[in-house]
Amino acid sequence: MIDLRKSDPQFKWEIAKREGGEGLLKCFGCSDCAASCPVRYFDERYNPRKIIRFTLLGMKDIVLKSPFLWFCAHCHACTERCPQGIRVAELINAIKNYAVEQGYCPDGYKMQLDLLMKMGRLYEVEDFDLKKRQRIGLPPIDKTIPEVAKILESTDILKVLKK
Amino acid sequence: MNNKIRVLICNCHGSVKLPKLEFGPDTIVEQHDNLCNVKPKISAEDKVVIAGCSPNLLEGIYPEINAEFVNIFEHIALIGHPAEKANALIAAAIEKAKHTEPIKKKTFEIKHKKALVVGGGIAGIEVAFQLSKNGVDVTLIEKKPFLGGTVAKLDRLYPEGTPYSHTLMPLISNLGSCKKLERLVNTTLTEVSGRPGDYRVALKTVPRGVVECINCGKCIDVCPVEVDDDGKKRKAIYYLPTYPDSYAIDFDTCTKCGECVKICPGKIDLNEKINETEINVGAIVVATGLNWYDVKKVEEYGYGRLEGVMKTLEFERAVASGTLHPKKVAVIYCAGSRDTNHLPYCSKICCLLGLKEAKLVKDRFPEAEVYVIAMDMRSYGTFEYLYNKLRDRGVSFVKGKPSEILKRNGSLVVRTEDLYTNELLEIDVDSVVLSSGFIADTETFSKLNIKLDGDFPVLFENAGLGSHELPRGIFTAGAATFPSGVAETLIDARKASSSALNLLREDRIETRLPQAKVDEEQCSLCRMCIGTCPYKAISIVDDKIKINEELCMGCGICSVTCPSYASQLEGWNHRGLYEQIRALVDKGDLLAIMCRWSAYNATERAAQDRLSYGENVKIMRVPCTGAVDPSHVMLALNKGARGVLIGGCYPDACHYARGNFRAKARESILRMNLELMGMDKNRVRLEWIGKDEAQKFIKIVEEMNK
Repeated sequence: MIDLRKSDPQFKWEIAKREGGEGLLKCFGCSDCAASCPVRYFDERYNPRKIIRFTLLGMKDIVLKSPFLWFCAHCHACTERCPQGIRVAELINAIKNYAVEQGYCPDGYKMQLDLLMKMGRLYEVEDFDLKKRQRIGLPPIDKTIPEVAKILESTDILKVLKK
Repeated sequence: MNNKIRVLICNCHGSVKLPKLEFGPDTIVEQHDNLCNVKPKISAEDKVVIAGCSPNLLEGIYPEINAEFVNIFEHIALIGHPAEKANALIAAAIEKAKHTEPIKKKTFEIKHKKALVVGGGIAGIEVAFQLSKNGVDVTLIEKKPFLGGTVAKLDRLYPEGTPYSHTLMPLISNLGSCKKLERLVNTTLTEVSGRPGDYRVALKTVPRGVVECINCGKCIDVCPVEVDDDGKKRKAIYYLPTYPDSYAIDFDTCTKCGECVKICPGKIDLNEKINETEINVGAIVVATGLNWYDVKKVEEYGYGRLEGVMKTLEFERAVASGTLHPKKVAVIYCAGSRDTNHLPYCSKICCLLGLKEAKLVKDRFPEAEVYVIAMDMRSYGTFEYLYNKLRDRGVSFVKGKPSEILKRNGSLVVRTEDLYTNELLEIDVDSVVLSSGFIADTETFSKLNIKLDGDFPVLFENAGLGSHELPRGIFTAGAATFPSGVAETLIDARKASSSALNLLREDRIETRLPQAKVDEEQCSLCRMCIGTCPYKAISIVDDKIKINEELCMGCGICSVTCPSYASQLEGWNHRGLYEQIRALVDKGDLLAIMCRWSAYNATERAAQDRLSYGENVKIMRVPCTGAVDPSHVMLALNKGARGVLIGGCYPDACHYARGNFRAKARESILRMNLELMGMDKNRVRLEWIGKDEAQKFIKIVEEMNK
């Protein structure tokens, strides 16, 4: 049961004014997004409609703490089909960004950032890989890309994630 | 007049090959080649048989004559049947014409070129204006002391939220320019008698109390009685800026203390007498509008018990007059609508009223939170834009029907399940608006003998007459027909006034609908016809069965129900049908008795699609399967028919409401009897055949021919 006394009436406005969140208020709950979603097809716990409706009701805690918010695969099937023209995938993105700002970020994303900062890649390049490349006639690549760390430093992402 | 029967045969520019035609000395055979364009001279008294193409087409070309139609084009020529078949079909039609009473023309004289408009809301005002502008004498009556009806109580109109005065004031000032118009307020209709063109109406006018008024308003200051008028406070003596321009006393609440009489510089009479008059009119337009459903009956929502729970109208008036400053509002939809415990129907406009109230709150108090709790949002047509706009403005929409409203810690708590999130919600608010449905003014309808479907007039059952003409001569306009918005009401009022005008500008109207006739000498007063008539046209008057000519639609169902064959349908007498079947059916034939509204069209469709069927299939046209008597079927079987197919409309789609159900009941009993007699029961079948279902017709015919 949800007690709307705990809801934050400003939450939907916070999301709606963000980049990608503009369409939020247009949702009339047809659930075409959920019906189109390939992720939901495999895992029913993920449901874009519910994320949007909880956001509209101002249930900040439920939305931001939910691990399922992060399941979106960004295939944009929902965006194509939404009858109200909401860019649903981008809307989910906007909610994610807001969640991160509020300090709700899954550990996996933090680890990915650490890897990028350390070597500029998500996957480590080992000698095995270099040998394999040589065998099929490809030039060697750098094990680390320090420029990526510089780029990341110039954005706000480190500040935001440290929160 | 000629006693001989004229047989007009059309060969459609030579495309229909005809055999040698000879039908005996009583007939005159005439050959034509283009009956649909070149009309021969036929007097209305002549008995005529027309053999040509579809009767549906020819009936429209020869509406004024009594004719039996034979379709030799679609039933013979187009499907390659032998030309000799025409002999049997035409001979059968001639036999029917010989033994059938012609359909008589009915004439109504329009004696009084005058109209009565019941109800002084926007619909009534618009009808009165349109009629009087077209030269009709109009009496407009309103039961309240002021014109304006429901709209005069509103603050604003959906979708934009324009003040009601934008619409109502011009309408009322229009009336001022009408010359032949009488406006009677505080007046109700008590009794009506007569028929279209000649109604006698009794009116009752109760006093307004205020006789001479200079609009000083001193009476309001001294009146001790305070009344809550749908969310707005007023005194027992009050004023509305519509018409007439004078104060009035609400005698339901007035205590007759006499304070106003003392202070009034004009004249107030608390003991005025009720005035009763009678007038003659030619047409009556009912524009009685709508009444709010009593939401007190929806006990779980606590209307009248919990403070802060209001109807839409009360909330609107309270917010508009500045007495209410809501911070958190819940608008509950379908309060008592689409609910078998209350109103089973959808009132169509309450969704929009709910949106209007949500917009009102957002317009006046942008910071207020508004929750709209709706099972379904039926913002039909372009009203969807209003719904879209409100979502953009941050109104929260919850899908569901609240279970109850509670009072907890001083605020109202609405408990509902939100179907969008599948979670139980509790919303605490300071105001709850119940968007309830509407009921009709059934009192006026019953006085005018208007048939009701639940609460509202039946619109679609009126065979062939158009939705406005209930019993012809009485018309409905606006929300009296069904709850409708202001724009729709005005459009409907204009339609109704043009229908009334069509009637009133004629000197007489004529109709040629067949009528049921009862032979008094043969009637045993068993009363079975009364229950079977779909139009409630039959009643007992002075120990005699009486058929109301205005209500009878000519379905013929009563003529088959009557156990003593006293009731007969003009143009479809049993005797005539017997003779037709005798002449039509030969040994081995398959008789198809087809409803003229659906199955008969399917047989024609078969020809148009160039689909053929057995040559032994002979098709007969009847007004309704409900008018097919088991004796017709038995006669055909005894004449040697291998089977009888009765084709009718699908269930619920009968042109005469339930004729096909009657036919189904008769068919099953008939099949049972056939079995008892040791015959194959499948020789008689009743099938639902839609107007385009040629394939189905042919499939059934082939099955029966096997």
